[in-house]
Amino acid sequence: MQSLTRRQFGATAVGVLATAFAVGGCTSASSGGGTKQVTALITHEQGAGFKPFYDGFTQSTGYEFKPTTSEVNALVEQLRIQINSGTAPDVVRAALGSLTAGVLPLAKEGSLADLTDQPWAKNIPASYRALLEWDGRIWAYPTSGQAILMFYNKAVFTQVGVKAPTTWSEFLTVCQTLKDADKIPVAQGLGTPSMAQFIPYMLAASLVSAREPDIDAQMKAGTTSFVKDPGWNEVFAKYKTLMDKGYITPNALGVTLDGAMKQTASGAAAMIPLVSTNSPALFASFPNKADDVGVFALPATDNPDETYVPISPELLALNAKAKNPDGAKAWFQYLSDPTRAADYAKATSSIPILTGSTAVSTELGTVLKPYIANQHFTPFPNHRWVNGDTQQAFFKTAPLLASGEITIPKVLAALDAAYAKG
Amino acid sequence: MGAPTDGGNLMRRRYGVQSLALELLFAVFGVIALFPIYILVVVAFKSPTEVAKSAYTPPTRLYLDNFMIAWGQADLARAFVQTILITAISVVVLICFGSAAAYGLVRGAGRVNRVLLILVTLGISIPIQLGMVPLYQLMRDLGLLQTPWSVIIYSVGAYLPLTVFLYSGFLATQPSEYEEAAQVDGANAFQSFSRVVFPLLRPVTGTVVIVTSIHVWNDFLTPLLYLGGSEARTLTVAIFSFRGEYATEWGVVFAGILIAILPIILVFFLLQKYVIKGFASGLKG
Amino acid sequence: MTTTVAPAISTGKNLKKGRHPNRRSLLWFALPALVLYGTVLIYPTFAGAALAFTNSKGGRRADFVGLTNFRTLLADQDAIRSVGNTILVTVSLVIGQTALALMLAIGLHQRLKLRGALRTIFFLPFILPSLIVGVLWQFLYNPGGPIDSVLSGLGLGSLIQLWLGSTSVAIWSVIVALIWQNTGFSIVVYLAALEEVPAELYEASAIDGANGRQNFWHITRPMLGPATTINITLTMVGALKIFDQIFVMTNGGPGVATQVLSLVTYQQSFVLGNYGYGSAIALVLTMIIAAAAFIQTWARRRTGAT
Repeated sequence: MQSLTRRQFGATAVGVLATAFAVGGCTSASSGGGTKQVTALITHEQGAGFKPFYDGFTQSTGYEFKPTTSEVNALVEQLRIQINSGTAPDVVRAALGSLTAGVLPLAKEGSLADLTDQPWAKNIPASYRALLEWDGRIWAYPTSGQAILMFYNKAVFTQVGVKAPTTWSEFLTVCQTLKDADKIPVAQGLGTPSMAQFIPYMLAASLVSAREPDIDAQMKAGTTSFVKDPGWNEVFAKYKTLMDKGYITPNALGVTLDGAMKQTASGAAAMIPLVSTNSPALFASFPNKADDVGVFALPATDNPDETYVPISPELLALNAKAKNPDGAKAWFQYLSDPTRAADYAKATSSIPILTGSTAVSTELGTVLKPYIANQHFTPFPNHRWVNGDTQQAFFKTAPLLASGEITIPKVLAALDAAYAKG
Repeated sequence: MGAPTDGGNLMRRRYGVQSLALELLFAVFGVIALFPIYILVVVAFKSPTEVAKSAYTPPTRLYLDNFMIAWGQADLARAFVQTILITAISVVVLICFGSAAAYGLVRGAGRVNRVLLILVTLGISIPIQLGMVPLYQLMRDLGLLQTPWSVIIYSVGAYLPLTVFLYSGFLATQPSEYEEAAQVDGANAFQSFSRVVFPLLRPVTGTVVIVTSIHVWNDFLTPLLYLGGSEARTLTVAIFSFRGEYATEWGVVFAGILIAILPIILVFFLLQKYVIKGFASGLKG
Repeated sequence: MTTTVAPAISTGKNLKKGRHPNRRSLLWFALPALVLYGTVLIYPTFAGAALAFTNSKGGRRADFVGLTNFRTLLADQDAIRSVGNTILVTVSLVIGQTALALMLAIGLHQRLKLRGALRTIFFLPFILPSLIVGVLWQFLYNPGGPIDSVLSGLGLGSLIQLWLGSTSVAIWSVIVALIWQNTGFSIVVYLAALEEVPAELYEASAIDGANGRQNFWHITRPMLGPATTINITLTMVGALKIFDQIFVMTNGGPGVATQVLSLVTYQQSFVLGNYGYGSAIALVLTMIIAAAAFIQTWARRRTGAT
């Protein structure tokens, strides 16, 4: 086969390039839009939850909401680069805490627009304001709240004959009964390091944040630390107890969070701690979806009234360099309608978070109702830590408790060392 | 053609017991190597409930929803077109620029050429993370973001060192008599290159096509960054959009992957003889 | 080595050496490539490398801090450990992959009936996106999963490890997955080289009474020089840049057992926002890769292979 002469080759190349240019031009032109579009960078889960609102939004405001959805890690990377380069969309999903895509760091560097004057801003509960407030101003719209709770396979509970516990001792008894029945009491997939956070954060809500509401100020001032704080020590001691008594997945370090979900869905395990917004992934593996799954708040002491639930808001922020700030604000406004907020919460397995919202009729909403009514909730502890290094240190040390390769004092010391980086 | 090659075939004509033993041994190896792919296929055909029960037993019935979701929700048809376009153009440009550069730097005399050649091949060492942000900002300034051209230009630049490495290695071992003869006949440098040298390089071109097209096809981060916010995405970006924060519908993702690589597998299987011949002559460098 | 393509020109004319076009003008051929290379690779890399000498946190302000980041790197235990892991992965991959590919290629080169299918099967993993390779092997390594089940079934249950969960075993599990993914490419390169070894050499040695092993050592092996060089170079460079598979399988864990430099760069720059520090680490990684490539080329020259 003779190769083409340069001239023939050139002609073909030009033809191909011309076609490509045309196609490429067309595809990008359609995303030009103009000021009627509101662009956004959000997660896949958020996109799924917002979808039912698009038409209504366009009809009532004339703006069109055009999101790009991305997996969370990729989203953070994209967002950081886009903000640095000034190419970020109007609406962005902001993380909590002090990671690079966190709302407060972004606000401090001037990348976000002030939203204090928005109608819904006064409906932000006091317990969360600190998370999105800086310099006395509000920098994000909380779409919903996600809670960390213990989910369980109802069929397994019924089969073994146990009920959701309300005290720590009851919880241990339930675990023992399940273990005797050859079930894994609590599925833990510590091969995914972030899963090692769930139980400690649930316990910390009751044992640390509830008892010492000003712990973050104290830690910043240096008057206390992870090592010194009795609450954190108790948190890890209790977590370790579960491991020592064999109440968690055997060989947990080799199992991923996916695997832990599968264990629960297949009935090999009974309970699994999860962030509520991820429970749809759990439900999907059950024949009857959400109806097969129960949920309760993990008690930390033997007094049910001392149980607090970790609840943190999910945030959308407005890019300071947004091309369509009015459209973005209209979008937030549209979402803040109590009925729509409730619908969104239902679809994403979370709860509405602004005061005055309609309650959600899911099991999740029902379980959380008393805690919210009594203000027995606090943000996730890591969302108030001073930097992202502390959470990274958590990932690198806490899972190793399961294999005995690390001791609790070492974990706490590592957290302190990372926290001290400031 | 050179002497008939039989390269180390230990068994020559007999297909005896030894051959059968080897055949069986390799069949076992093949099964082992295929096992992860088997999982890819099995999970793609299972419903999430079934996957939860067991990831690797064959599905009780063929669950096709994953494929339909992958195709529909991720708009794979459009992603296919976009990816084919980007890959094809990148590879064509790479071949043109790379072979020309190798010719210029190898056949050209002088220190400058030698130094440049080393500099270009050194480019293989550079990880993309270092220059990722400045390059993104350059694309922004050129107004190329959200067009396929940004990805094409990036891909060509990124794989030029490897391409030049392969072409120049081969070219250095080729005698230049034929080119000189062509020049005596009155051909200029261009014609000498296109009519004599480039056909000579065809085997290496085969290698370049395979390696670079696989890399460009599978690239995830760059198309995500450069094309994010536009209507069109590449296949990998589209398929991985199904990844959730903590858990993922792997069935759908795997179904998408199967759809995406099926054409490549078919092509390789049908053309493998040519592929290997391509590598063969490319090795003389 | 003979060329196999006849020139597409007339041969009737006088072939005495005439004028050559100015050799230096051939540089023009390299111009498009050089422009693109400079724009896409050189300029951004230098710009990015410049960040390594600042305390950039990703925002607009960044102050020049000289070598501070590098000093921090030397004191950073996790980063140092990751260098060790990176080198371990690279060396294991180069040796393991090249040796395995050679053995499999020799086997595949025999006239097996399953040749076509086998070659496709071994090459297939190379076609998959690295993320997927990571996920598939995660499934395989699940405790009680396929690998454990097969081992138990074969009565080898005592060999079962916590493949991805044990700090000592995890990195080797990752290396196995990487070898699976990339060996196919090395096999094809070797297969091609094997096909080029002339048959007469083997026939001559048969007359001399040589056996298979001697054939391999004295005839085949020297002919594989260029193929081995290509395989080693590409495997080594590829190994140093590996990211996706490890990110998905273990994300550097358990603890820091599988932490490699590319992961550390990513975490520093994109999770923690320490752009300056992350760039410094990336710069160090680049220098390691370049050094490795240099050493490999120099060694190649010394041993006389082309």
